[in-house]
Amino acid sequence: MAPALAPAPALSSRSRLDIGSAAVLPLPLDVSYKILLCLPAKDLCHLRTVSWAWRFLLSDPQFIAAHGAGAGPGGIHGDDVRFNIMDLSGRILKRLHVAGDGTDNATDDLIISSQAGLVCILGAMGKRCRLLDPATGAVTSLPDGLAEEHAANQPHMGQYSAAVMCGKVASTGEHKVLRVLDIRLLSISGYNLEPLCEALTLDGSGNARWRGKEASPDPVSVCDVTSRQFSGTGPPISKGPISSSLELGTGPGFCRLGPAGNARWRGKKASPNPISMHDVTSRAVVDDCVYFFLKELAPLHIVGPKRIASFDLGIEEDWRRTLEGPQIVRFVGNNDRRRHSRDDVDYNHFSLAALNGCLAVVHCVRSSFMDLWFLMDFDEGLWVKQHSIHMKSVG
Amino acid sequence: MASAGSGDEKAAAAAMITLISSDNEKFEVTEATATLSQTIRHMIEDGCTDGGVPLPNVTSKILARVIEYCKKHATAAAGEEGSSSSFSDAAFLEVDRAFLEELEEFDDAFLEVDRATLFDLILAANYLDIKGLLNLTCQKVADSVKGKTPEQIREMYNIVNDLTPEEEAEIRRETQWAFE
Repeated sequence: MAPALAPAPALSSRSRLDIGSAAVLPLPLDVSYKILLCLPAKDLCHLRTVSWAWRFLLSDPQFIAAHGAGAGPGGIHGDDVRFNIMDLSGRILKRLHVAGDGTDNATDDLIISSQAGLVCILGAMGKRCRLLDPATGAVTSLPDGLAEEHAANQPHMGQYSAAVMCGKVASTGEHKVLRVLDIRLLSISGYNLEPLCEALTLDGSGNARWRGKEASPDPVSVCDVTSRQFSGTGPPISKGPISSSLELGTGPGFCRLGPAGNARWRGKKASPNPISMHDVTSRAVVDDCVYFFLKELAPLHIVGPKRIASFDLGIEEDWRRTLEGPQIVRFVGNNDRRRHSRDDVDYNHFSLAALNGCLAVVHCVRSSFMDLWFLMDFDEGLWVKQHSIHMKSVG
Repeated sequence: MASAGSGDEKAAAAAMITLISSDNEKFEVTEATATLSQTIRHMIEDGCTDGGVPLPNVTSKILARVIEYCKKHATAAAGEEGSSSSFSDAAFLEVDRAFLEELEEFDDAFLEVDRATLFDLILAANYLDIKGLLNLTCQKVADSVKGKTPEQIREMYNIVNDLTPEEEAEIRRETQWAFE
């Protein structure tokens, strides 16, 4: 009938820590553990030299992981997000803590780092978006819901999945956010569902809002995905996905990231071609231009080079013309029957990246090689393979 | 007979639980106070609190302090729930802030104890699974450790340094950045 103690962490099985002078503190190990989790990392490093037991506990990967996750008594809530900013050797330079907004669990949050120097935290399929300035720790929540222009005749935000990209317009110094919303269901009675595009400007004044713009005049056949599929070269045959962008405006005393209290999304013309939504490696931001791979629905073996949609956040006009990714030609066969072949290139191995201020297409076959193709000239569609890294399988 | 809904608040407030310390002293507390302890909450839910709850690990001195904490925080929790409808937003925020300030002052005063008592409170909070109290007391200990040198920690807690000079030097090398 005596109440049972709460289970101690697995560490307590390491008996040497519990005995006599070898104890960390004159308290049960699980409590000592809890206390030390409250301390900053720097203190903990110093205190490794207190005794063998302190060193043992404070060097324990399990403890370090728990400390990194912020499991201390100060406690983090289920939807809090913690960041460690690390250098390339894995040393933690800075820790940041972003309190949850109480709407969701953080487990489905997706972090996309370093877009225009900001960290984008996406939750709930990209519908909830916060931006973190890693320099200051300031966090801005972007407005929920659709741009006014879209809210009137579109169903609830819940019917969309969103891809959110943040860029900085060089000419004005503004941070802008582009959001492409793709439909999750093909139809809902009473609504003419279509993909959306919205933009938003962020400023320090707290006036950001999604702004809706007119949709493309050309009707889009949303239910028939195949009709959008091959529209790349012909005239636009469809009303594209609607998109929206967010402005973080500039003002006197501009701070890099201010409250987005009044920021609103502005509706934009959607890309005339469906955009690949679900994979963060299929998008990139270079300066004020946002790039997306198009959604390819054809069977793999007939997919040609990746096609890339792009939107200029500076001018916020139409989507730019579709760009073709690098055409990969590889030699196959043995030396006697060497030939050019496009057949064996799996375009699923491609991703987009922003490298050295350039758009790059990364062609990576795991455990084999990684080729980096840089876009040298948008108008000419000129790609140059600047790096090729050969990789050996590690175990 | 655990009351779950808020409609049973009166009944819950009226239900009394008897806690028995290791030195056999009996404490009558309301169920609302007692259930700040998850351990006791589970016992109430299992219906095994008739005849009192023996707490063989907690002395009467410490149990009295723990109950003092639970009473205060149970009242605060009930106050927050009750007041939300009867005030305008601004007034509610004002009341809310006053509550929190009062609670913080209470907590600060509560922690003005010697180290042995603090550790006993931690053990009791751990045993009774009272999260708020455990966090509060652990944080207090952590604050006292913060910024101390290893030597000071050893003195505070009578810890023998069983590391060899070589091991110590090695640890310093591992964590050089923290010493810069």
